[in-house]
Amino acid sequence: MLFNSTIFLFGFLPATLLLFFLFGRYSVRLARLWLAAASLFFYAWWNPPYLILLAISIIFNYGAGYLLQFRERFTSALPPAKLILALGLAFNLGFLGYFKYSAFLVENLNEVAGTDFVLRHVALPLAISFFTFQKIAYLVDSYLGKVKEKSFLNYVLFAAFFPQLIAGPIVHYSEIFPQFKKPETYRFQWANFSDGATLFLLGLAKKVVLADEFARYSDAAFNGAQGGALISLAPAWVGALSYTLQLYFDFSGYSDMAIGLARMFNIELPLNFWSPYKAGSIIEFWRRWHMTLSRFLRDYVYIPLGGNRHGEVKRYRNLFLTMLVGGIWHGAGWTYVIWGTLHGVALAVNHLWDVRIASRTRPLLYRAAAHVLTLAVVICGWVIFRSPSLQAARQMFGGMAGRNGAYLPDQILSAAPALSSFFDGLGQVPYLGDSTVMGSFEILVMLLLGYGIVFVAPNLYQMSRSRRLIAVTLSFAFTFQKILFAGSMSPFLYFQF
Amino acid sequence: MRAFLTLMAAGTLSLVLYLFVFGFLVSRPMVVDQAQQMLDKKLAYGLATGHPKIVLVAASNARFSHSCAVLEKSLHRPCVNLGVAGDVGIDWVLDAARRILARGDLAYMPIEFDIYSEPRTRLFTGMDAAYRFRHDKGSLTERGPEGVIRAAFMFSLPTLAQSLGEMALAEAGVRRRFGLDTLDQQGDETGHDDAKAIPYLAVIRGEQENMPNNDGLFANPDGSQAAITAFLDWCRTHGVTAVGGLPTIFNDRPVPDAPIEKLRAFYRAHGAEFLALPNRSQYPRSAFYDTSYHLRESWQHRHSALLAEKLRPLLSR
Repeated sequence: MLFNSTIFLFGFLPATLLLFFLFGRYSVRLARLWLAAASLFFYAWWNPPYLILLAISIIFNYGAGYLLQFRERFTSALPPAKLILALGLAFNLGFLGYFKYSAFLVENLNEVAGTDFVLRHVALPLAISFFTFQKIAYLVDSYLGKVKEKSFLNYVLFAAFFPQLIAGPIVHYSEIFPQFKKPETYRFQWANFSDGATLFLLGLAKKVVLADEFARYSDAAFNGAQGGALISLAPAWVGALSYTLQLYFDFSGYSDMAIGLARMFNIELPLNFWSPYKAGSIIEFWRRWHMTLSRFLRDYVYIPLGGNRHGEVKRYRNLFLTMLVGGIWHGAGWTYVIWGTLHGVALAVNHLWDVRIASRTRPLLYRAAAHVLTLAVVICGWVIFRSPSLQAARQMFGGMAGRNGAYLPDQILSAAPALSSFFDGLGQVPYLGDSTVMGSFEILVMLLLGYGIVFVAPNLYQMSRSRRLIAVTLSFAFTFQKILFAGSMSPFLYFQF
Repeated sequence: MRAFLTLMAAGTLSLVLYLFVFGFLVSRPMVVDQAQQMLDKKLAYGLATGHPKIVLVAASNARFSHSCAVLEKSLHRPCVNLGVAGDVGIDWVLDAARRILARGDLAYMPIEFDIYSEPRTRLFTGMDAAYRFRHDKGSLTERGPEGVIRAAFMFSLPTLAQSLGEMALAEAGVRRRFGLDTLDQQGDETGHDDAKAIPYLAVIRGEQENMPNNDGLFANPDGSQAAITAFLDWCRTHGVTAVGGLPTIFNDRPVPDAPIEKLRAFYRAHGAEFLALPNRSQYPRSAFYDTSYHLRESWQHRHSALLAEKLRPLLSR
């Protein structure tokens, strides 16, 4: 079920909230049971048979976590904790590997070894990457003694709590469940409900008013590139710049909605974004972008690899490997491998620069250049990330470099002759603004608005309540229009991961 | 509670502002308003000329690929070209046609293939609805509450961007490629000659062929199909000869028989004729201007001359 669907907005959400607080008045356990059942129903709405997979994952991890947390209750015949943890991790990684990476591995094996293995098509279960990482964190935390949870119901609620089930934020048990243990969580609170609803509405606006519009502009170029078309300079840059905004508004919008929904239930989820495009370095970017994934990768990949504890060279190697894992986590494809590699190299270079070259004083020009360079790396990364194939990515980069020509509608060139030095005129420029002049103008205005928001405006969590209300006033009608009248509903980008 | 009420108030204010901005403040003078002006000009000619007359009913295919000037000359009857653009609801054009048609007239309808399957909601949210919501709110009530509400909420953030852009460009005196001054008195588009087609050569080369999809041809019976059906029935009861036709598309391969027969059956079921020219209204890509439904001016005249000969026998009915 999508957060931006009418069935969710006008059916599932009100019913779940109403009965949660109603049951909460009489029995906390009943309220938890209801919320867990509603969350499983929310997941099953997408494809009911895949609920079985989620259930298997939940049951296994609950069992493994229980053994790790309460070993002393069992006979000494129990394997050592390290082995239980290893088996638990192997199960989760095997689960993820089978559903997400087996087709990719077989395809590449056939390519390299000339074999002809055929793998039955395996559909990717929704949110598998997110819930698997969350469960890995739970097992490791259980092993480290940070978690004590006996109740299966509580575990199900933690694992399936619908606001964060599909695309995060990736949460730790210790930051969520203590909140469910407070009695006041089960009492309806207008302040939290209003705050949550405000965040939800603003996140929804980011998705349907901004991200979905930028998707139109970027899809034109990327789909054209995938089809083998030569994408010229302007549409290639419009595609890249638009996707940069689309992904941010889509994913951060989702995270705002998740945080808002959880708050309606009196639960605080961790932040996932903090104005990432304002970052002045790649290091800073990863402290601001998908923060809970970065935290997971740091705690469960980078630090176990040795972190920065074994010298500079190993530190850079660990950084690189961590980002490579981050890339592969996003998807089974060479584009994700390259994207992860790019960010791994960029992070290592950034650390090296900071250690060896950069001075403490950073004048304005230096900082401006750092922002531009960071954004350039990020945008190039997103081109690879978005491209359906390496061939498409090559086409896009070729277009961005001007290798496929530079064209604008001739009417624009006659209105602004100075542009003729850089562009040739065409009646309609393919893959740009529905091939109309006004379409090109619309894109320009929308890009200015989008980048204005990400560069200049404070993020939702920096805004005062009154500023948020102004933002609601400016955006709500467009959201209303999109949800009820536009007649289309697009999934969130991170659902595919 | 108070915080929630404030949020509700912000949402309500947002809706009020939205309706005010799109209903009273911004407009799209270069696209939406111009469509209405074009239709007004065509209607004025239609009302000023006598009967019997010929009226061409379609979207931009009528305007670019058909010439009433040629038909008038050849058939010695007044002819009005009501084609405007694909983004207007076909019911709007059909309503306009009813205003100028009378017993003994002929309505030729080379309607674009995709229009036959447009859903009902599409009729409520064409350019005409945007125009009416901004400039002629009263007329929207003809479409009932759903028509009013859908027209009121058809504007997105990009629409606002386009509106502001068009208002600024119009203020600066920028003109579109086509407008009132490129229409002849009958309402035909003029001036889209070979020289002006040069910038679009690559577009035409890469354009899809717009072949009718036989299965999807009448996919939404309550949409445009219903509007066309009502118009054909109106023609029958008012003594107007309605003639369905094929829009002009590339001749990469012939239009298959199946969709032609489907269209013929549809028109005949409602007492209308259907005319498929020997060439099925198909021409080489080099005959087209900027899209597959738009012939260049010289081919527009050639096509119309061919059409005139086939329409001649139908005029006496």
